[in-house]
Amino acid sequence: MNESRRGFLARVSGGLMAVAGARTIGSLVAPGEAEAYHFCGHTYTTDSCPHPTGLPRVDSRGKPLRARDGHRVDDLGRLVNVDGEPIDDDGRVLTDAEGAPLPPASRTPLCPAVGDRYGFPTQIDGSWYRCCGGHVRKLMDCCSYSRRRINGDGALTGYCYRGRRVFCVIYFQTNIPC
Amino acid sequence: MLSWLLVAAALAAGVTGAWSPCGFSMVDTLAPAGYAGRLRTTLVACATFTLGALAGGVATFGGLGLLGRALGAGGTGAATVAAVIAVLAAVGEARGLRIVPQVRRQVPESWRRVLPLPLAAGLYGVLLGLGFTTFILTFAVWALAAVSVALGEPALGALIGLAFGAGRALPVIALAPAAETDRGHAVHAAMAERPAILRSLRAADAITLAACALAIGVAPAQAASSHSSAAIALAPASDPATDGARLAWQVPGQTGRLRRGNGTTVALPGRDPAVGAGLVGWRDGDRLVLADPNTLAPITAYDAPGAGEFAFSAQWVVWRVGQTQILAQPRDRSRPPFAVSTVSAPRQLGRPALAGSTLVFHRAGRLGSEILTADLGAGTRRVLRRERRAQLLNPAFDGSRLLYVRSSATGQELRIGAPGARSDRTLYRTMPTARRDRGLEPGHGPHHQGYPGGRRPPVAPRPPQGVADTLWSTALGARAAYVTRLRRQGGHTSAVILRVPRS
Repeated sequence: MNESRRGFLARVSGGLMAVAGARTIGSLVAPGEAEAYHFCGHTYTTDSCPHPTGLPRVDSRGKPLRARDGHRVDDLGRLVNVDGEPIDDDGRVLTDAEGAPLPPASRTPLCPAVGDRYGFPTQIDGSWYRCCGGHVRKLMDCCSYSRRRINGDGALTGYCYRGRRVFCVIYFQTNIPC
Repeated sequence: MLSWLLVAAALAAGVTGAWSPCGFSMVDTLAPAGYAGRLRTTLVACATFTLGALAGGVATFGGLGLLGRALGAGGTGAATVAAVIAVLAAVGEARGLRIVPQVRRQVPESWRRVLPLPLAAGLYGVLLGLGFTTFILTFAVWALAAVSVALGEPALGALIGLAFGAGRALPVIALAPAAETDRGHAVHAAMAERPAILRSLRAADAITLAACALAIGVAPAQAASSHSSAAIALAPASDPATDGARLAWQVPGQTGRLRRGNGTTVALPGRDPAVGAGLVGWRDGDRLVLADPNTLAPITAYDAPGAGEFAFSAQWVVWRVGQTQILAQPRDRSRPPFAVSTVSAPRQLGRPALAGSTLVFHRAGRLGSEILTADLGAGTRRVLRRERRAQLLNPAFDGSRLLYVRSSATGQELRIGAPGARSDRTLYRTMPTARRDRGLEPGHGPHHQGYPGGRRPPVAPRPPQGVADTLWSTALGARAAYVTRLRRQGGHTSAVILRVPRS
């Protein structure tokens, strides 16, 4: 009787430990959407790098993309085609009143542009990946030796190396499902 | 001009509202002998009433401006509707017609009994300033609402609202403190017993509304500006050119037009019009024709194969070939045409502008943009302005001042300054071409950590959904600057010319 009671208690406590352990492990590996601040996966308060259309989505080369659909945009925020010509939402080239195409504008990688704007060198150091919107997202810190971040207060180390700190953040949405 | 007329109409409409049941009630309510009990309370209540009325006016008319913007208003069609409504309202006011539709509601009487009077007065002010929550005494209220929506400019709507609120407050705060004096009684009696006063005010409403309708007809819509007012001067129209006395422009898909100094407008027998040196010019195929502006009789012509937009002065004629080359030739033909600047696509050269021997134009591409000047006589060239991540476009030059468009992700500006100046003055500012997102993903909120005072800096204004405006070609007159506004909406491009006062 005593043995069977001990056996039962052992099974119950073992089960509870297994559940607790699973939850602990789950909390370590779960995607961090719920923890994020102004966009999925970003778990700190450093703000976005200035981006022509708002959310700091970039392509694999760090150039700006429109966040909602991943379409490339120029430094003015206009949608552009592969030749850099400004286009409308239907893909037609923007023209003047006589039908001549409007001039293309620059399309600069976001992090170096931040450096130019604020007057100190910036670069992408490390990164981290999280699952966002069903795809793997690469979260990147735009790092500098500035002690202040874009918010105006003290900068954090984040994913930056060699004494650099996070000035602002950007992300690249991969096509990898998760 | 239109802004001031609308302010006058709104002020008159607000004052007319004093003859409503609520207007009369307010004078009694705020009087020192009434609920206030003493003059000091009356003065405080007058202040809160005024603030409330101003806030109410801004909420209504500014909100209607926002609604108009969201609906994509601001075009000639909407402005025409607004002008027609203003005319109808003016006729109704002039004839003293009964107001329909009428709002048969009044402010709650109990507030003045249960609330501190300054608070009640402030809330009363809000309701009266809102315009459509109580009796309406003039058609101008309806007309101004329609105009606010049609122009689609929240800033202008807010200005109308301020004027309306001020008009509603003015009679009340002028009469309430003196309500118990002989003079106050006399004024109150006159208001109540002499319909001629109200008729006179409605006549004033009619005049201001008619003036607004006229101004809207000439300048159909008002554009947003944080520096000076800009109004649509011509539509459909693009590529303005002026020498001060004359204004020429291109009607998209048609020929050019010329407005002479005496106000007459004529169609030109060619495209891409230009003015200068007392002459008018147009392009007739591959020939650039210069003519007498009064008779349009050709005086001279230049062969310019492939030419598009051009400019000329007493000494030179310059033209653009495609979007990649600018050629020049002395007016006396002492030299054959020669290339001033050539680029490879997709880089583009802009429309040339000329003052004497000084040529200015833009060069824009994926590496940035710049405004260049060339001294055609000396053969020298230099960069006047350059930016990598903003576009500097379509300069105009009158010999002393440079006018150009600066376009970035945060806004578009019409700037003016001396060619060698380090900074320029912004004559007009409007939304960027592209519409930005909220900077947040759905389901996420903004955070404020680290920002001074715990507040994020404001983001740039964004255009309405589906509307992409581009400020484009410019012209510089003695008293006003002109800029083409291209609008892409629904897959079509339309063009109007905005007029912006220089001062």
